[in-house]
Amino acid sequence: MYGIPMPIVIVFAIFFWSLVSAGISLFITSLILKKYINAEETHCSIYEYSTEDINYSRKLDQVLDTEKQDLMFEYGNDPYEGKKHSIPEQLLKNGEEL
Amino acid sequence: MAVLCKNCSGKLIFNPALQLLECKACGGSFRPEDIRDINAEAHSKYYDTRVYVCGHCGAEVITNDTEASTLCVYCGNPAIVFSRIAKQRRPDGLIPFKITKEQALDRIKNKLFTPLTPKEVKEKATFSNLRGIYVPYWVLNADFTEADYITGEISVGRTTIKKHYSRAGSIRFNNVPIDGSKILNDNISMRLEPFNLDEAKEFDEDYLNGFYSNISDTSYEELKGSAANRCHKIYSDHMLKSIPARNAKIDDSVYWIDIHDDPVYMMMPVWFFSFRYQDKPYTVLVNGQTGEVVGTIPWEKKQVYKIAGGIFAAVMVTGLALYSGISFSHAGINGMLNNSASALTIFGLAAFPMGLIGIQNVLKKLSLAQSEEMFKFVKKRQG
Ligand SMILES: [Zn+2]
Ligand SMILES: [Zn+2]
Repeated sequence: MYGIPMPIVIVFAIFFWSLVSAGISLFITSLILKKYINAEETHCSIYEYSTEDINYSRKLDQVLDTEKQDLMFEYGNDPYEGKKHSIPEQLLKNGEEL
Repeated sequence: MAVLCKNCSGKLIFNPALQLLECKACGGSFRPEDIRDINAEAHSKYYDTRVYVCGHCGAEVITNDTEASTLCVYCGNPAIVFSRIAKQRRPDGLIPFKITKEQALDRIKNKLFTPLTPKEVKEKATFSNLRGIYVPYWVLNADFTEADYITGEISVGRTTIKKHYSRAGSIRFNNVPIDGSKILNDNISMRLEPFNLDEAKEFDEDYLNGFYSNISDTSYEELKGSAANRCHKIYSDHMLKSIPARNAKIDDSVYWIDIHDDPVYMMMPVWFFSFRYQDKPYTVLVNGQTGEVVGTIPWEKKQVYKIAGGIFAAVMVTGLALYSGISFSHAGINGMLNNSASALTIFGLAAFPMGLIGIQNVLKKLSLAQSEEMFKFVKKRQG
C-alpha cells in the first residue's frame, strides 16, 4: 500500500482507532453521567427578591475599550458611604469575639 | 430547655406533618403557642441551650435532646461531646419543619439515587443518618448598586466578533435570606432558596424539640460581604439577559450594598443526610420547608468504568470491522464503508475534547456533595 509496510499500517490503524474509540466512549459516558448527576440549580429569579426591575443608569451596547476605565471611575466609590444603620446585637457581639 | 408533656411529663417532639408537639409516651399533642405559658423564659431576650461540640472537626451544634446523636452532622465522625449550657440570643422568627424525615428521605432517593449509586450509600440512607437542623439566617432588605463591563460575541456574516457592553444600575432587594453560620458555605446555602417567609412564625423554642440548631456566628461585616455577593449573583444573572450577544460574560464589575436597619434573625429548617463513603464525608441537604434537594451522591466507580469500557470496546470492534472491510472488500461497498468509517472518525475526534469537558463539568458538580466543599471546618481534619 503506497510503499508503507503493511504491519505499520495496521499498527497505526489500530492506534488511531483506539484514540477515536476513546473519544466516542468519553463523550457518551459524559452524557450518561450528566443525566445521572441531578445537581439542582437554584431557580431564584430577581423577582423573588424585588418588586421592581433593575433601574439602569447606564446601558451601552458595543462600547470602546476605554469604557471600562470610565465605568470603574464613575462607579468605583461606595454610593452608600457614611449611612448609619441600627445593627442587631447578635451581629455586633459576633464581631467583638473575632 | 426541653419542654415536658402536660399530662405525663414525657419528652415532647415537634412533628412536621401535624405541626404539633407530640408526646411519645402518652400520645398527647400540643400547639407550640399553647405551651409557651409553661416556659418561664419564653419572653426573655435569651434562651438556654445545650451546646455539643465535635472533637474531630470543631463544629458546634445545639440540641435539647439529652440523647444527642453520637455522629457529627458535618464530618460524620463519632466524636460529639456535650460542651456547655449557654444562653443564646433569641432569634426573631423561625420557619417550622414541614417536610417530614420520611419525605426528606424519599426526596433524596428519588432525586439522587441512580443505577450508579454505590450499594453502601443506598444502605446508609436510613433515618438515623438524617438529621434536622435549624440553620440561622439573616433576612434583610437592601439597596444595591452595580456596574459591569461585559464581553459577548456577535455574528457578522459568518465570522464571530467580540463586543463589549457596559451596564450600571441599582435595585432594592427585599427579604433576602443570608446564611448566618460560618460553617455552611454560602454557595451551598444559596441553593436551598427560596424559603417561603409567609409561613414564618415568631420564634418559639418549642419548635426546636427533636431537632438540632446552630447559632449565628457571623459578624456584621461578614454578613455584609455575604449579602453583597448574594445580591451580585441575583443582579448579574438577570442583567446578563439584557446583553444582545452570545456567551455574555462579566469582564469586570464593582458593586455596593446598603443593608437597611435591623436584619431579621431567623431559623430555617434543613435536613442533613450525612454519610461517609470510601473514607470521605458527604452531605446532602434538603430544604425542610420546600423539599428542595441540594447536593449529589458519589458514583460506584467500577460501574462507570464498565460503561466507558463497554462503549470503547463496541466502537473499537466496529471500527476495526469497517477498516478491514475497506481493505478486503470489493470496490462496490468500499465507498459506503469508507464513508461510515470517516464519519465515525470525525465524530470520534470531535467527541474527544467534548467528552473531556463534559467529564470535567460533571466532576466539578460531583464535588459539591463532599463535605469539604459544603462546610468550612473550624479544625483542619487530620488523616
Ligand atoms: Zn405525655
Ligand atoms: Zn465533626
